[in-house]
Amino acid sequence: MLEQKGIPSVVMGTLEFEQLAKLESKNRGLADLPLALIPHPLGGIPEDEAIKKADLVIDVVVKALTR
Amino acid sequence: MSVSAGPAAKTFRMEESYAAINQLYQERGWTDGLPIVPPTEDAVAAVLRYTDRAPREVVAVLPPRQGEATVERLAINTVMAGARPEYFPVILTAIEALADPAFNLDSIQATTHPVAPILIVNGPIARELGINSGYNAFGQGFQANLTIGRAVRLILMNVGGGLPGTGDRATQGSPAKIAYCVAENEEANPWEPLHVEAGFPLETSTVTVNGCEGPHNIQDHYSYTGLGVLKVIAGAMGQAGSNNLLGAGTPLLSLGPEHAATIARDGYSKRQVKEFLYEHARYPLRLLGDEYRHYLVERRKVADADDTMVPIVRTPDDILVIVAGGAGKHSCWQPTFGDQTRPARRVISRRDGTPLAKVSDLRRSP
Amino acid sequence: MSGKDVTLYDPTAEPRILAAGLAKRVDSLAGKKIAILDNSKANAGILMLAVAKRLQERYGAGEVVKREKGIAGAPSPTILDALTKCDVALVGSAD
Repeated sequence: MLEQKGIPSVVMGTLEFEQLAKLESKNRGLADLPLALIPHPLGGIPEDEAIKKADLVIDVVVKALTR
Repeated sequence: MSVSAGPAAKTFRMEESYAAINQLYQERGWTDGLPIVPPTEDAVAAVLRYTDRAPREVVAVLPPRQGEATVERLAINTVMAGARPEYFPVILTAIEALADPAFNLDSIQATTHPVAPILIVNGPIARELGINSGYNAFGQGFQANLTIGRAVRLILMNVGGGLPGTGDRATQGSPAKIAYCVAENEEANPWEPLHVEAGFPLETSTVTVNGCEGPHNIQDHYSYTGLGVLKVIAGAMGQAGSNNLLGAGTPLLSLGPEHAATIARDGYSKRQVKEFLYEHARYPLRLLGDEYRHYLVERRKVADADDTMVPIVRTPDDILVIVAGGAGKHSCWQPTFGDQTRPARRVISRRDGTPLAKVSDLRRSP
Repeated sequence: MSGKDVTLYDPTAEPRILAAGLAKRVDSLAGKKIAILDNSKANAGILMLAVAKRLQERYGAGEVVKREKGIAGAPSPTILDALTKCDVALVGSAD
């Protein structure tokens, strides 16, 4: 886990998996591990649609990584 | 071997009513949806007589909850499943195997794939306990198969936290997730059984776990040569839609005794069966859509040509072969979760590692 | 019904909490090396590369170091070695 090695991280995923991602982090004692979630799905869509979804979470990512 | 003591299991008191107890356990999400046998102190104590480990010994830490699987908690879920106390050594051994890092229980629990750990039991203990290896081996009817499989599932839910919709994200799931335990039909196996192939003595009993889908049937009533049967099997295994096509892994071939006999009679060894299937159980790249083809070419490095046949495993040794079932010209195969899980195996043994000849050897008087 | 009470067991385990704090965040992304840990799920890499590109364009972030691991299981020591030389990390995808 990069976070445990001192590298501030953000986990990227879809809103569908928010619950599981939070559970997994909690169970490893990293309750506040930041998540940057886009609307589901990520898989099974054309590349350009996936790229567009990046714009939806840039602010969340920046907030998660910086003080 | 260091032993850590885990927490004592919690207890509570309530009205001694089977209906009320079941309602409470269902409401708390502690069951698989079926009625459970109430885990009373006496019932759990009866199970604990079939181990030489201390009740609070931690056998494994199970993901995704990272719950401590103490011997006591395994016994509680064993009672709930309706398993007989003498089945406990098999259940405990299965949990040890599932906790092997190579098995990757973390992913098996959480994935959208319908994977369930299959428990394959080999050796004399399978026969001692009456674990079915014959007719309807993967089906209903035998207390040992159903309740051992069920106990393991309850443990994965209650201790590991693999609960549908949260820790367990299986999109559709499968009936194999309810209970999935079988003994290999060693008498009907024309070659060496699974555990002997792995280097264990015939008289040692083992539990092998593999992250599998439910069985896919392979019917062949017409071939009477080994080659004929193998061609049908190759056609069945070389299919689109399995994770093995996507990511290799360790698919399981469960030959019915008649197909096994036909193949062996024509001179094929088990190894030759695997080599044949490695070569011929393949899917044509050209039949896949562009996006899938792109993935296979970019990530799996298959040749980007219309005549490329995509294999389902990296090497012949990655195909597991067992014999199971009764008379009839059916076999089945079980695709797996892919190459991020490997089969794991543990010997059914005493605490000090000595293989157990008979489960009844372990029984302690009350 | 007997009207009696009985002692029963709770079959569950609570999560075993391992104490671990979060890493220190960076003051700004300018010049910071971005690690991408791609678990090979569909479009995970595409998404994270697009995010990294925006971070470079808008926040002056530095070079990107991307490594793929299998869909499940921990990253290898070699991968971790390469990625821990970075300043911030994108990990994905949880899909």
